[in-house]
Formats: sequence, C-alpha cells, structure tokens
Amino acid sequence: MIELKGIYKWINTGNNRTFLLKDVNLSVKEGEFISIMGPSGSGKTTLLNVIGMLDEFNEGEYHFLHESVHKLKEKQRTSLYKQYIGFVFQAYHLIDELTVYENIETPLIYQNVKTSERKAMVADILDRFNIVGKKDLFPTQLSGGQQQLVGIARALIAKPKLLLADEPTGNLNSKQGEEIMALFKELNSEGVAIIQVTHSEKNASYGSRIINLLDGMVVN
Amino acid sequence: MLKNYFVIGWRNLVKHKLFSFINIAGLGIAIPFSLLCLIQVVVVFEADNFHPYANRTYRIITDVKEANASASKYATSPFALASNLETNFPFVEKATPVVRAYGWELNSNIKKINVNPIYVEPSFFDIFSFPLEKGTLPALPNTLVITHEMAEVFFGTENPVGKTLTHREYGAFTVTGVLKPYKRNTHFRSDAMVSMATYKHFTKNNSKKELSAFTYVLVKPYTAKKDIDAALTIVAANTNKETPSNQVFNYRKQLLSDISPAFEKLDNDAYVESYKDIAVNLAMAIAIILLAAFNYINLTLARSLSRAKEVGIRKVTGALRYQLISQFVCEAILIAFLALIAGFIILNLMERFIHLRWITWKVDNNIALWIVFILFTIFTGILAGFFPARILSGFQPVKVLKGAISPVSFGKMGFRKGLVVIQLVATCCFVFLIASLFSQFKYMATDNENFNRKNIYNISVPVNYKLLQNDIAANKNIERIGLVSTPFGGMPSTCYVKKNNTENNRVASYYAANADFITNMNLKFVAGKNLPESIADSALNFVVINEKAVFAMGLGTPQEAIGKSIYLNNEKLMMVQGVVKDFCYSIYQFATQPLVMRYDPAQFHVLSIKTKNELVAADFKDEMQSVWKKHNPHEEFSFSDYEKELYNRYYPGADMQFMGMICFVVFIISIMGLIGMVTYNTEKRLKEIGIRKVMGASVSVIIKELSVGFLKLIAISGAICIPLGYILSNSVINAFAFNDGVDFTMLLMLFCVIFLIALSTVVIKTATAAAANPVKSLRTE
Repeated sequence: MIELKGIYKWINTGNNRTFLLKDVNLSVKEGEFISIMGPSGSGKTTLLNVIGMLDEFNEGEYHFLHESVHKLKEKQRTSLYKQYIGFVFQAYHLIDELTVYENIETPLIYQNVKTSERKAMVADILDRFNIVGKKDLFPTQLSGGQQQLVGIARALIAKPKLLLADEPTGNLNSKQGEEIMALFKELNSEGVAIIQVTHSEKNASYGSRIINLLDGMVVN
Repeated sequence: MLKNYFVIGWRNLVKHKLFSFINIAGLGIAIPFSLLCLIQVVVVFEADNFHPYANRTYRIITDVKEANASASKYATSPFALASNLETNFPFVEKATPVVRAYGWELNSNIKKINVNPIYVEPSFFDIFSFPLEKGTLPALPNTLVITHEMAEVFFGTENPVGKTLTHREYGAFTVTGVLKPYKRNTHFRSDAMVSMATYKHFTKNNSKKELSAFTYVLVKPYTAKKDIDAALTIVAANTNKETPSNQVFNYRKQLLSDISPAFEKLDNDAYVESYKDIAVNLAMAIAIILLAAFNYINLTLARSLSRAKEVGIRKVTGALRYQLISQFVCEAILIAFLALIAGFIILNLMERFIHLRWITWKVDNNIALWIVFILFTIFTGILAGFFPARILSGFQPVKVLKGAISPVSFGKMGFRKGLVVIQLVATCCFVFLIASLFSQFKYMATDNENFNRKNIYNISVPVNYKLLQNDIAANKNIERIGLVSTPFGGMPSTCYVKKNNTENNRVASYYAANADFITNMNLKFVAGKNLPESIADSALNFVVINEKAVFAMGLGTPQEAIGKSIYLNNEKLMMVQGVVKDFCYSIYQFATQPLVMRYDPAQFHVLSIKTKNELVAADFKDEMQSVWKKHNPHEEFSFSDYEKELYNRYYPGADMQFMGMICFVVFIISIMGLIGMVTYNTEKRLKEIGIRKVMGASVSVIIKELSVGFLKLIAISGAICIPLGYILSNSVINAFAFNDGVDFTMLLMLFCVIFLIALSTVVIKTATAAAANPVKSLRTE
C-alpha cells in the first residue's frame, strides 16, 4: 500500500543543512500494524506527517496505493488523504467550540456527505465506542481518555484504510492507555492498517513490526 | 453546511465577549450613519414620484453651441417654447412653462418674510399633482397660492384666501388659495406659486432666445419618442433661423423621472441633486463603514492566532481552502447582521432626537430601502471578513499544530506589530480628517478676512429709508452706515455683464451697494477707487467689480479696466470705478464668481451699520428698535448681529451637533479598535511576562520594558501617519475653495492624545498581567 523510496527532508539554517529525514525506505502492506520508535528529535513525527501527506519532502519517491504522491498537486493530495487516511494526535486536537457529535462529523462535512447519511454514520460510531450519551457535550466536559476516543472516532468516521497515530496514549494514564491500544488491535483485525509513533515498549508490542529511527535514519 | 458555519460563528461570539462587543459595537455605531447616507441616496431617486402622468411628462432642455465651439447644456429653455409646442404639434396634450423667481420678500403688514416662488400657468396644475387645500388656482395678474407651511407662518390659524401679501416692486398680491402639504422632495420646491400672468405683466423684453423658463410637456398616450425628437428638431431649427446669433440651439427631452438625480450637468438646474451629490453621500457611507470594517479586520487578524489551531485541525480533517474562507466570511456576515440590528435601533433613536432640515428620514419605497440595507450588510460582512479569511485559511496545519506562533509576517517586523502600527495609523488618519473638517466649519463661521463681520449690525429697511437712516446716524455709537441690497454671506442676485455689445453675456453676482458699505466690509482695492460718495443721479452709472469679473469680461489688467465701460443686463452702460481683490462673499466651497457692485438706491434694502466699538448687542438692538418704531410703528423690526448671524449660518447649531456626533463616533470607533488591538497584543505576551517575572524582573521593570517596546511602534506610526494625515486633511480642506489651510498644531495635539490613550492601555494591561501569578500564565497551552 505504501512505498517510500529514498526519502530525504532537510531544512537550511544559514549555511548548514540539517536533515530531518535521511534516506528513508519503507514498505507497508495493507492491514499491517507498525510502530515507529526512537529518541526525541529522531524524526518520528516528521515521518508520520510525510506519510500522512501533511508535510512535504525534498527528495525521494512516495507511492500510496500506486499513486505517486510526490507528483500530485495539493488539491489532489488533499482528496487522497481525505479518503484513505485518518490522523490521531497526542493532544487530541478537538475543536472546543463543537460538541462531540459535531467534532466527529467534521470530516464528513468536508467530503460533502448528505446530512441524513452523516447522522447514520456518526450514530454508528458513537454506538461502537459507547459514547452515545456524550454526543452533545463539549470537549472541555470530557476526560482525557474520552477526548482521545472522540479523536479516534473522528479519524475513523470516513472508513480510512490507514490510521496514523502520533503518541496516542501520551497524555493518558495507564488504564486509559490500555483501552486505547486494545481498540487499535481490534481495528487492525478488521483490516485497518495502523502506523503509530510511540515511546512505550508496551504499546509497541501490540504491533507486528517495529521501525527504529535515529537522527532521521532508519536503523536496526 | 451554512447552518454549521453560523452555529460555530455564534458560539465563537459568545465565547470571546469583549472582542465580540468591540466588533459589533464598532460596526453597530457606524451603520446608522451609513444607513442615513444610503437613505439620502434612495430619496434622490424618489424625487417627483407623486405626479400622475410621470411616464409621459417631459422637461425640455437646451443645448447651446457657440461659434467658438464651447457647448453648454441648460435645464431651462425659451419662454415661448411651451406655447409653440402646444399649438403646433398635435401629440402634445399640454405644455406649460415654469419660471423661478429669486430674492422675493413678501409683506403681510405684520410679518415680512423671504419667499421662494415659482411662476406657473393654470395648466401646470393639470400636469403636476399639487392639489389645493383651500381656494382656487392663481390665474389673474398679481395672484398667487401659498404652501400650507407659508400660510401658517403668515396668517397663523386665519384663512389666507383673499388676503394680501405685498411685494416691494410688484405691489399687492391676492392669495387665492393654499396648497395641501406636499413632499419636500421635488424639484418644484417653492413657498408660493404665482400666476404666470404676473410674470408676463412685469417682464418686458423677453428675447426669443433667453433661457428663462423651464418647459414641461405632457404628451398624449402612445406617442412615439421619435415623434417628440423630430418635433424638437423642427422647433430648434426654426428658432435658429428666425433669430440668428452665434448661439445655435438644440432641444432635447428629459423624462420627468430622469430629472433627478442629474446624470449630466445642466446649468440652471435648481433643486436637482446631481450624480456627484449622490456619490458624495455614497462615499461617506462607505468611508464610515470602511473604518469600522478596518477595525474588524485588524482585530480578527490579531485573534486569528488563537484560531490557528482550529484551522489546522480542520485542514487535517480534509477542509479545502474555499470551505475555510466561506466559514470565516459567514462569521463576519453574522456579526454584520447583528450590527445591523443594533444600528437600526440606534437610527430610530437618532431620528427622534435629531432634527435637521437637510436630512430625510423616511423613504416611500421601504422594501427597496431594506433590500439596499441588507445588501449593504452582506457587502460589509464580505468586505470585513474576506481578508482575514484568506489569511487564516492559508495556515499550514503541521506548523500550527506544532504550536508555531506566527505563520505570517511583514518582513522583519512581525505580524502582530505590523497590525498595531496599521491600527494606529488608521485611527490617527480618521481622527485628523474629521477634525480638519470641523475646523473648516469653524473657519467659515468665524472668518473675518474675506469681508468684515465684526461690529456690523444689519437692519432691513423699506423703500423710503432716508429719514430713518438720518435718525439712526445720530446714535453716537455708530461709525458708519452702509447701504446694500442684501448682505454678503447669502445667495446673491445675478446679472449679465459684457464688455461690448457683440460679446456674449457673462453671469455675475450683483449687489446694489454704496461706498460706505464697501468700506464697512473692508474690501481691498487693487485698482481704482471706491464708488463715489455723491448721491447725485450720475452716481448711478458707476460700478466696482472684482478681479474675476475683469478677467471674465476680458478687460485686461485691473488697472486697465478702470474707466472702461461695460454693459449691465444688455442695456445700461456702467463705468468701472474700482476693482477689488477676489474674496468669498457667498459659499466657501466654490471659487469666486465675477462680482458687480453698483450704486442703485432703488435696490437698497438693508442698512449695514458699523459701530465704533464692540457693543452689547441686545442694548444696541433696543436703541435701534425705538428709532424704528418712530418711523415704522406697524412693521416688524428685523435686526441682526452680523457676526453672530453668519456664525450660526456656517456653524448651525443643529448641523454642528450632528457633525460633532459623527466626529465623536469616528473617534470612539477608532479608539475602540486601538484599545482592542493593544489589549490583545498585551494578552498574547502573558507568557513572556510570566517568564520575565520568574527570571527576577519586578513589576515596574516589566511595565517599562513592554512600554518601551510599544513606544517604538508609536514612533513608527507617527512617522507614517502625521505626513499621511496632513496630506489627507489637505485634500479634504481643498474641496472648499476658500479655506484656512490645515491646522498642524491641532494634528499634533490629536496625535498626542491618541498616543497617550494607547500607552495607558498598554501600561494598565501590563500592570495587571505583571501582578498576576506567573505559574498560572506559564502553565498550559
């Protein structure tokens, strides 16, 4: 599903060139569960952003579902990741002015899904995550674990093939973290590919493969 | 989708109450004034919309082409044209001439009042809808009908029909009827409609080509336009053939509804608003809104940094740029509509408390008006919302989600600082502009350079004033008594002058005056001398003219003009005795016109009395009044303190109040925007203040550091806005041909006031922040 070949990303500070990603090669098949690990500053989040088409790279090739992403214009890229990729953040990043229901339906609105269909889809996912009673609450009225749940629901609502998670349990306590990881396992078994960035060995063990990064390069 | 936008917009409003208030209040205060301007525009289009045959009533206008190729357009046409058209062309159902009269004063033996009349035929009332309340239409010579308002002024509750009003020259007029009250919004605006028979009786020598009348034609239904045009061409050709001169006439028709507003400039087009007047009103409406919109834009941009995160999230969940732009524009439109509601309430309040004659509050077609209002509001919302929307929607999600502060910057200075400078400059410029306008009015009200107003008192006198004048002169306070037809500062009479018989006539302002009057007014002579003092008959042929008149008639230099003779009103030969420097004797906006002052005792109506020293006006009035009563016991005594009268004319109480209100509003809006910006800016630095405090800075040191940073911004703004403000004020003031220049000290003072307000806001906000617990400000986000 994903092919990264010789990906380089750098920034120029004065006369020096700092590499954020150096010669990264990666292959991900459909339905895989991968953990990216490494110390701070190793480029994990950058790599995730590149895979999620939120960020650009300077050199290399990126094929997603046989589309050459590096050759696409911004609009086409947006429609590509809108359809196939869901993003979960460490800081949840919910919109505080919207209710749980409205937060979850936001991606559907931007895909021009009709109101009645949206209602059905959101209802389904609320049901699945057991947060139906919370649909009219605002994020500030929820606990961290519940907010993350909403974030995940939002990422999944459009039925993506790939879920990208940047330290999803970073702001949660151990119990909440376990529940989230169990949920991921379940999703993965349903066929959603998951790439997560994590610090914790425990979380990494839920996946099938671990990729280690150091200073922007893949190491073994 | 739209519903979603408005819901979010509403929730955002409620969440940030201070900024929402500033935005809504700013727009809400600006909107009533804009609405008022818009109403004036709509009203102009509604002029004369109450006549029954509007779609087949035309006014005939005249194009005059002179041999030396200068073409002029006139709203008037020859007097004979109306009867010519009615007699010779069957498609004309009725045609009627209307002649405007100027400078009338009517006397009811209890009151003497200035009246604005038009001469009309009885057929006028068949074409136009001016129904009578009482009495009959005026047909015989020396009859007239008066308006409902005039009737109240002259006769109170008595029945005016059959009563007499006297005119100085034309004698006694019988009031045959009273008109029902009619809309002021008509180009036939007048206080009385006098029978055309009167005009024909008193006016001899109506040259076939003199454009003295307004000609109106009611054509039969289904008349083809080209028939009318063909008829006009024939008549014009005949006129040109019968009375050849170097002026070639061409007639055109103007549908009644097309008269107002005037899209082409016509001479003699009385009481018709031109395209330009509307443009001024529209421009003012837009300018006021621009100020408020500017505040909105600035504040929203400043606050955009807090919404950057939201933009990032929306982009990650798949929003395209246009969707984000639509969202923010919708929010702006929401605020605009809330402001419209607030503004409409304020407008109604204003209507109750402000009474100005030149402002109309109501229109006939309310639906059209509301459509205009709503469109304007949407326009405002889009105007104010688009720019921030575009910038906001350009944020890169990755950067903002990581927490990078500012995605946009103005070169080195940084986004926030740039906005503060822009806000300061805009505030200063608007305040400068309005203050300059205000000072221009003050100048016009207190000017003494153009002509002398100090220690001058005016008394209106009847035809035989000699005895009265002698008695008054006995008063030991009086330095000199001048005589004049009407004092400077109002609308003068006009006359025609030309160098010799073969030339074209030039229009000039005309005053009958004596030498003492000219001396009283302190007019400066550049050549020749004042009118002769003697009252012998020969003095009747001397005139004093101004430099513009010399130029207009081609008399050479002022020195060369002395001793030359000129034609006055085609007949009388006048000798130029002296030339005065050009000065403003009427309206300050317009450059000076040619001026002729002639010794003509028959037209002296006013004693212009100069006192030796400053007196208590009330006491002097009493002294004068007792002298008056001896000579004219039954007539009303009209006395005016010239300086005060002109002050009130140019600085009219109600107008100035209104003007003051506008100034105040502009000031408030600008300051509010400034405070909002500065507040927001300081709040953004809470984290920085916390850090500084942790590192050991005391409260006063922090205040000083932040204020110094702010002072730099003020210096930059000052460097930009003072020259810019000066240039803007200069161009506004130069819209008045006579002005006093821009008051630089006033600009500087205003700048200091604005600067102090901004600085105080910074200090207060910083002090509050610095006194707070740094732990709190360093904790989250």
